[in-house]
Amino acid sequence: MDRGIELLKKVIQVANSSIGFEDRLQGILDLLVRKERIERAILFSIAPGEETLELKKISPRNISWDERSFHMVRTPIGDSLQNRRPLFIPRLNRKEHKALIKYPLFKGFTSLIALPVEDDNLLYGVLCLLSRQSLTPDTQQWELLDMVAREMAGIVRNSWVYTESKKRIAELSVLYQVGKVIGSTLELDDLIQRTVAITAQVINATGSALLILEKYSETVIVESEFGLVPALVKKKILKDILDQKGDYISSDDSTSPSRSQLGLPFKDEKTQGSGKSSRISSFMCITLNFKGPYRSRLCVYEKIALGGEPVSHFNKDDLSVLSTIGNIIASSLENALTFQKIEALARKNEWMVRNLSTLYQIDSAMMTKASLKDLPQIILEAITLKEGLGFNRAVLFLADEEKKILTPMAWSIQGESEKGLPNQNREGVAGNELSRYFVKQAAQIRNTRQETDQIVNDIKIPLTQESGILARTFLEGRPFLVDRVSEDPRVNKDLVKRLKLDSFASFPMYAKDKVIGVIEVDNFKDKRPITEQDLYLLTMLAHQAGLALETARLYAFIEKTNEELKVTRERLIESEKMVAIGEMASGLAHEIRNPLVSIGGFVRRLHKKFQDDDQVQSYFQVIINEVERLEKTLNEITDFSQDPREKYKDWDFNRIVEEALGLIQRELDEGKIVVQKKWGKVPKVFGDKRQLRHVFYNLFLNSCQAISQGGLLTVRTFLDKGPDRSWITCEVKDTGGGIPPEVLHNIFNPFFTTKTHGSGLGLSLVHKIVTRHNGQVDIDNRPGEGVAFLVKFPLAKDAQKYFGKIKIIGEENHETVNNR
Amino acid sequence: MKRLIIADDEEALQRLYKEEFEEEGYEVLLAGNGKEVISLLEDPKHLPDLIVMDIRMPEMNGIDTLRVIKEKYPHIPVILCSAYSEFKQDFSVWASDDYVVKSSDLTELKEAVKRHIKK
Repeated sequence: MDRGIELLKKVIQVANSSIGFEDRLQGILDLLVRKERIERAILFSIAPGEETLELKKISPRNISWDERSFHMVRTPIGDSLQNRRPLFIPRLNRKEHKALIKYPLFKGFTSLIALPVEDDNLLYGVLCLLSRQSLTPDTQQWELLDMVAREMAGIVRNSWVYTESKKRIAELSVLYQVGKVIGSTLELDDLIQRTVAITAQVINATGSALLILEKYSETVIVESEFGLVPALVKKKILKDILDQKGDYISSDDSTSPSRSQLGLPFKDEKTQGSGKSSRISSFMCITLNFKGPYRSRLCVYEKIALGGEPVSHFNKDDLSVLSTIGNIIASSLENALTFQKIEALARKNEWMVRNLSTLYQIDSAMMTKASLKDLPQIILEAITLKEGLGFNRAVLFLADEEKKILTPMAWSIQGESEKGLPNQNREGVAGNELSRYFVKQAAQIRNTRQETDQIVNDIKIPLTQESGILARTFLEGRPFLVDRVSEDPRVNKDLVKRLKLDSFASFPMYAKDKVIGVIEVDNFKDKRPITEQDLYLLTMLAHQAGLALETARLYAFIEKTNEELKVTRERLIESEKMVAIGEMASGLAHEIRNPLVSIGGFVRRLHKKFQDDDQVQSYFQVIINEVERLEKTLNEITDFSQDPREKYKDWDFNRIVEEALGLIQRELDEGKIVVQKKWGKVPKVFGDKRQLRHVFYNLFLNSCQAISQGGLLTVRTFLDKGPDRSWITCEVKDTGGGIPPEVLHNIFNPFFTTKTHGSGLGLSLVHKIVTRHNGQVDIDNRPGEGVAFLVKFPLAKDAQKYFGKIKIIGEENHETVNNR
Repeated sequence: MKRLIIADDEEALQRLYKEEFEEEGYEVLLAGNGKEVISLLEDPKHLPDLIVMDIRMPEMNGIDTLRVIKEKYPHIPVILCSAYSEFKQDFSVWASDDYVVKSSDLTELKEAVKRHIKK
C-alpha cells in the first residue's frame, strides 16, 4: 500500500477517534513527525482579525518554548494565509527569511512547509512542518498534506461546535435553574434571597450581591447578599449604580489590562486591623434594566477555583451568563416589586376600608343622637369600645373661652360598660347595628355611672403654652403623640400622675376652622403603643367629632331660639288679645257708665234725703259702695286702653308690620293664604309700638277673614312722597272680593260688622289708632276683586313737630284739632 | 245766681245734674245735644257762666259744639264730662277748660265747676 494512503488512513482514524479534540490534533502532528521525515510539526491557531498566531500544539511534545505567539504579519506565512495557499521554503537560512528564523521554534531548521488549516468557509490556523534536511515534496505529498490539514480543520471546527454546544447547554441549564428559582415565588424577599444564591452558584462565585435603588430618591429599597460580602464591595456597588456604570469584569490577574482602572484588589477597611486578608481577586458586576423607576446592579466576586487551579478569574463567558441571569431576573424582580407595591396598597386599602367603615359607624352614631348632652359620650365610647377603635381610655375636653380653661366634658374607659355586642363577630356586625351599639353604650354609661370619678372630673387646664400638651393641642390646633411621658419635659406632671399615663396622644376638635376642644387618648391598661395609623384615624375622628359637636350645639341653639320665639309669639298674641279685649271692654264700659252714674247719683240723693232712717241709710250705703266699686273697675278697664302718648318713640316701620304678620301666621297657614311681601326703604315712624302693631294685626286679620278660602295677601311698604309732605305707607291688599259699596262708609264705625262673628271694633280701632298717630287710612275698594287699605303715617320727624305744635296751639288758642 | 248749661243726652243724668246743682245754688239750664246748647246760647238771657257737656251726643256731639262755643263765646268756660276716660288728656290740653270723667259721685264735677266760675 502506498505510504501516503497509509498515513491518510491513520490520520482519518485519529480524527474520528473518541479521544478529545486536543489529543486528536496532537496525534496527527505526531503521525506527521513519525511518518513524513519531518522533525517538527506545529499547529498555530488564528483568531479572525488577529495579527499573531497562537501556538496550539507541537510535536514532538517534549520541546520547551518561551513564546506562545508568533507575529506573522509581513512574513511568508502571513502572506500564505492571506492567500489561503500552502507555503514551501526549502532553505530557511537564506537572508530574506531572517524574520522566520528569529522565531525560536523555527531556529535550526532548513525547510519549512506551511499549510492553511481551513475548510470552505473559515481559516482556523496554520500547520507548520519543519525539517533539518532539505525537503522536496512532490505533487502527491502536497495533496496528502493538504488533506491532512483539511482533516485538522475539521477537528478544530468540530471542537468549536462542541464547545459552543456545551456552552449553550450550560447556559440553558443556568437559565433553567434560575428560571426555576424565580418562578417559585412572588414574594420579593424570598425572590431576592434565591436570586443571589443561584447567581453565585451558577457562576461559581464565592459571593454575590444585589442592590436596587429607587431612581429618583436614590434610596436603597432592596439589598441582598449571598456569602459574606465585604462592606467595601457593597460600597463599590452603590457607587457604580450612582455612577451608572456598565457591565464589567475586574481581576487582579497580571494580564488583565483593566486592573488599575477598577481599583482591585479591594481591601476591607474593617478587617485590615485584624490582619485577615480580604483581598478580592476577581469581581464582576452588571446592570439590571428595569422598566420602572429603579436602578439595580447584580455583582459576583471571587471565582471558586475548580480542578486544582491555583486561582481562577471570571471570564467573558461568566459575564455573558451573568448578563443572561440578569435579564431573566430583572423582569421577575420588577414583577415582584410591583406585586409588593400592590400588596402594600391592598393592605393599606383594606386597613382604610375597615377603619373608614368604623369611622362611618361612629359618624352615624354621632348623627343619630345629635343631642349636645349625649354626643361627647358617644364619641368616646366609639374610641374605647373594642368594636370601635379599641383604646383603653379617652377623655374629651371642651374649652371654656371665657375662663380660658379646658375642662373634661366626658370620659370613657374600656370595659367600663361593655357587655359586648349580641353578635360577637365584629365582621358580622351589619350596617347601623354598630352605630346603635355605640349610642346604647353611651346611654348605659350615663345611667349607671356615679359622678365619683374624681380622677377626671375636676381637672382644669389653663389654656397657656406652659400648662402641658393638652393646652398646646388646643392652642396650636394640631395633634400630639407623647411616647415616653417620663422623658418629655412638655407634659403636665400632675395630670400624668392622676391619669397614670405612660404615653398618650391628643387631638384638637375643629368646628369651622376653630378649635373647640381636645380629645385625649391613651392605653393606660395594656400599654399598647399608639401608632401612626392610630394618629391618622383619631385625627379624622376628632375632626368629625368637632363637626358633630358643633352641629349639635347649633341644633340646640336653634331649638332654644325656636322655643323662645314661640314663647315670644304667644306672648305677643296674648298682648294683642289684651288690647282687643281692652278696646272692647272700653266700648262696653262707656255703655255701662251712664246708667251706673244715674244709679249711683240718685242713690246718693236718696241717702241724703233719708238721713233719719238708719236701716234705709245702711241699704243706700251698700248700693253706693257697690256702684263705686263698679266705677272703679270701669276706670281700670278704660285706663287699659289709654294711649300712652308720653311713651311714643321712633320705630322701624317694616319691623312692626312684619311682627304683626307673624302674629297671624296660624290664620295664614290655615287659610292657605299666600303672602307677598315687599319691604320698601322707609324712615322711622313715631308712635306707640303696641298700637301700631295692632293696626296691622287687625288689617291682616280682616284680610284673612275675607280670603279664608285661600287667596293672595300683599303687604307692601313704601315712602309716599307727596308735594308738601311724605307719608310712610303700608298697603295691605287682599283678593277677597272687596267691600259692598253700600256699607263702605260704615266700616270704620265702632260695632259695625258684616261678619256673623266679630266685635266690629277691629277696623274702628285701626282708624282710631291711625288718626291718633296723625295718620290716615285710604281705601282702594274694587268690588268683585279685593280691597287695599293704604295706611299712612307721618315721618317720625314731622310727627314729633306736629305733636309739639298741638300742645302749643291747644294752650294758647284753645283751638280744637280734629283728628280727621 | 250763677247759671249753668248742662248738656247730656241721658234724661236720667239730666235730672240728676239739675237736682244736684240746684241744691248747690246754681241756675241750671238743660240740653240734650249740641244743637240745643247752641240755641240756648243764642238767647242772651240764657248766657251761662259755665257749660258742662257730654261728648257723645246725638245730632251734634260735644266736640263740634265745643268748637262753636270756643269760636263764638270764648269767655264761657266749658267742662267736658264724659264716660270716656281715655280722652281726658287730649281735651284738657286742647280745648276745654276741664275734663271730668263721669262718676256717680259728683264731688269732682262740682269742684271743677266752682273752680272755673270763680275765675
